[in-house]
Amino acid sequence: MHLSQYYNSFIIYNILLIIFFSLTVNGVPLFPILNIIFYSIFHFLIIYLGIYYYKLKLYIIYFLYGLGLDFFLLNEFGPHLIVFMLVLIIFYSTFKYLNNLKTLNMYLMLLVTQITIILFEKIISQLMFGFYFNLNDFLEIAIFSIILSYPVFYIFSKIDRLK
Amino acid sequence: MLSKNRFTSFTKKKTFSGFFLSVLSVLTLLLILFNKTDYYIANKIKHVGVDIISPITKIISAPVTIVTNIGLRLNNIRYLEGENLKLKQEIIRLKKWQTLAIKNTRENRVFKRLLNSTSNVIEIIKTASVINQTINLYVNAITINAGLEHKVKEDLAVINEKGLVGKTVTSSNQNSKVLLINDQTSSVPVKNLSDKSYSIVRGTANGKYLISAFIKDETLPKVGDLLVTSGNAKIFPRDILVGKVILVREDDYLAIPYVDFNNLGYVQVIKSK
Repeated sequence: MHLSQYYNSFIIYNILLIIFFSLTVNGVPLFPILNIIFYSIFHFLIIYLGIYYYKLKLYIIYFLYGLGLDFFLLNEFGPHLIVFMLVLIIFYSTFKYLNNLKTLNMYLMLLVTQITIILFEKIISQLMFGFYFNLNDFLEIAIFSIILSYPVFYIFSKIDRLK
Repeated sequence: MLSKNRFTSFTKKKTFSGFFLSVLSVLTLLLILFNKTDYYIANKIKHVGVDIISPITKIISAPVTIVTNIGLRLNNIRYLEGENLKLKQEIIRLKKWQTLAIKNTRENRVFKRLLNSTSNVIEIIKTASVINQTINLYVNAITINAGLEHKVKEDLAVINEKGLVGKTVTSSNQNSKVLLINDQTSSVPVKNLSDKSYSIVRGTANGKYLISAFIKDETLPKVGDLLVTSGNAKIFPRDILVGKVILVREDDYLAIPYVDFNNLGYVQVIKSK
């Protein structure tokens, strides 16, 4: 029996979101690299969902995960929530153009969006709550995002084929 | 006719999406406003997060935690023999110190009785285990399984067997969030044990060290000096080990915390008696 007979890809992505969210907020102190990996994959996944599975349910998903990340990672509400809602508004207004993009362009757009939103989250957290913006930390996340993006994109395209 | 109906349905759906998005955006702004003004709702949401979501995320991430712990244990087994030899030598050395410590404790007790002094002891409110830890992405914090029901409220000091861990920042009924002293937003008033000078330390950006944020009378410490809590802020009781100075620069100094933040299992919430 295939998994696809029970779960469609949207549900699988949501399960993955829950898993990566949990891993992001429950850091592994002995391996800090893992935290960065989980954090960047979570962002990639949520943007991927926003572009390929744009639907009403996503508004709630974006809102709740934005709230969750803000609370667990900053103990304040703001940066993730603002950026996620802004991203949703941008997706909402550019939906028909995004649909016409080729696979490679789509992949590049996903990667650029991911790095940009992480940058904005860092900047907003500094402006709103005074969290020090460490360029090295940001570059570390950006490099891991670039390295991981293609394998993750490939795996996601396989998951998409599940009906 | 059919295409007209479809168009109407699409327009209705789009209008509803736009409306829903606007509602959520307004809600986002309200939440940020409540958070800034320390409103009741923001705290309520934080309590729900600590009480309900923390345990769930811990369960979901348990396999990764278990696998990393197993990896670490296997790695430790490789160096077991060498470490055993070192520990045997350490035990012999510590036995001598133990004899001296017992003697000093007896003397101390007698002197205290002679001086009729009261001891500055701390009151342990609750010993709790760490259920969640967030590291280095933004804030360095842990969640512990003790909350308002255990008399653990906000702004209480948290220690472990090695020294000062942090302070509670959010408390719900069952759990509390603790801001670690190696976080860059934390600030701990400390006293240098050798020259009794005072300063304030906070965490560095990478969370590995403590850096001085303010030094009273610009009295810089020496490398190797020990830092303990000064007791100036009401939160931290005095004389709890904080760190050891490892680098002194022109305007500030770096210290290494005593507590190993990578291995926080159990902590104690305390207050001054």
